[in-house]
Amino acid sequence: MKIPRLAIAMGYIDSGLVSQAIEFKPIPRNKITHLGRYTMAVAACLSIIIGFYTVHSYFKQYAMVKNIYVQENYNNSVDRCEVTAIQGGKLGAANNMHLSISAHNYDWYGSCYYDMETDLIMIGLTENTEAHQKQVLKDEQKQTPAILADTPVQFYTCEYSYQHLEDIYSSLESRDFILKTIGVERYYISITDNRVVVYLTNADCYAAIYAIDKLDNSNGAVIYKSIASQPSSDK
Amino acid sequence: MDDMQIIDLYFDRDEQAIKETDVKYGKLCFCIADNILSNDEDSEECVNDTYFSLWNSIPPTRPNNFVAYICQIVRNLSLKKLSFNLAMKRTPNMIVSFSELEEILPDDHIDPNIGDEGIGKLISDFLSKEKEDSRNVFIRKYYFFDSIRDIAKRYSFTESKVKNMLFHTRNRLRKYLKEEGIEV
Repeated sequence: MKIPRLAIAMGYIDSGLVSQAIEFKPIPRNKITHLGRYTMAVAACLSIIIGFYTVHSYFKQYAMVKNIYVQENYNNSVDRCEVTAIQGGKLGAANNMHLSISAHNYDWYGSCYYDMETDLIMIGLTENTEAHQKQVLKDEQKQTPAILADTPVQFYTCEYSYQHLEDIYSSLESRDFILKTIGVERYYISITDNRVVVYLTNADCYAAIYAIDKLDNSNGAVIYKSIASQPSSDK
Repeated sequence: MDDMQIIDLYFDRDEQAIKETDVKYGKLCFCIADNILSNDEDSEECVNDTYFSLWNSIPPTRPNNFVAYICQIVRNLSLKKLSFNLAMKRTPNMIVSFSELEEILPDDHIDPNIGDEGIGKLISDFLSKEKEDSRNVFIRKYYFFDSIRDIAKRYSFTESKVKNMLFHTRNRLRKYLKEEGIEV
């Protein structure tokens, strides 16, 4: 075994390089003290907590500025009432009529439902003109003449077209996973309210309110309800 | 005591010069010798020979860089001693750095008309263009013959990072030496 020439030649390298290698002290990377690590961990946790509350406060402020309130849904049972067979038939007939009218995709059609209190079929139009009413009646005399003969129809002006409500519903559906993670429980189109109803896991899900309101372009077509359990004092 | 004062002591032929050199650089000298020889007695002998060589060479030589000058002497003496030990079959644990250096350019591929000093100058030119980290790691490994573990500890790198840096620097040096026409 001979000592290679390169090993010997290394002995003739510049003396400045040799002394640099002796004196060179890189910034120590592993010398973060235990206290330093602890402080960094605490600072990181605090940043996350502060960040979370800042975002939460922002969303809460947004909901307050926009006057968005979450209805508590404690009294579901109160809405339930007895339905006679005739009323049941009319409810079904009104639903068929709604399906029939919405199939035309009129951008002025809002809703159609049977009102049990007045025994009328209510048809909501965003542009409640005589021409539109005639158009609906003309269509329905072809499609569902029996219903119209049986139950009087009352037209009224509603705020949102069914197409708009369907658009919001589709937007919610396409973001279902994200919305569920930020507190949305379920959602549906309420024909009687002429709104999209969104149920939240609790009234503090401001991130969900913010996200949905942005989808609705702050139009007010969404009603928020909370499914949070009834307070013990009310039970 | 700074290096200039120690050199002045040599010029005054004051034996205190050797004591001061030993205090300041004794450990470094022993480390270099021991890295090469892997034998405490031989290393100690080399260190003493280094002091003797310093005593004889200063004056007239007045080194600009005293520490590099000492390192060069102790390194050369240690390599001579190793060469002698190898010839006498008194081989210590084999030093892996040699085989790595030989892989860069085997001796029989090196132009015999170029002297060791010439190759040393080319290596200096190459190292001057390298990043500071890579350059110092390379010098610690192939000049001081420090182990990977010691280099990693000294510079607060991981051992795998040191190995990686050495691997790439060796490859670049091989390419550089070939471009410079060292290879026959």
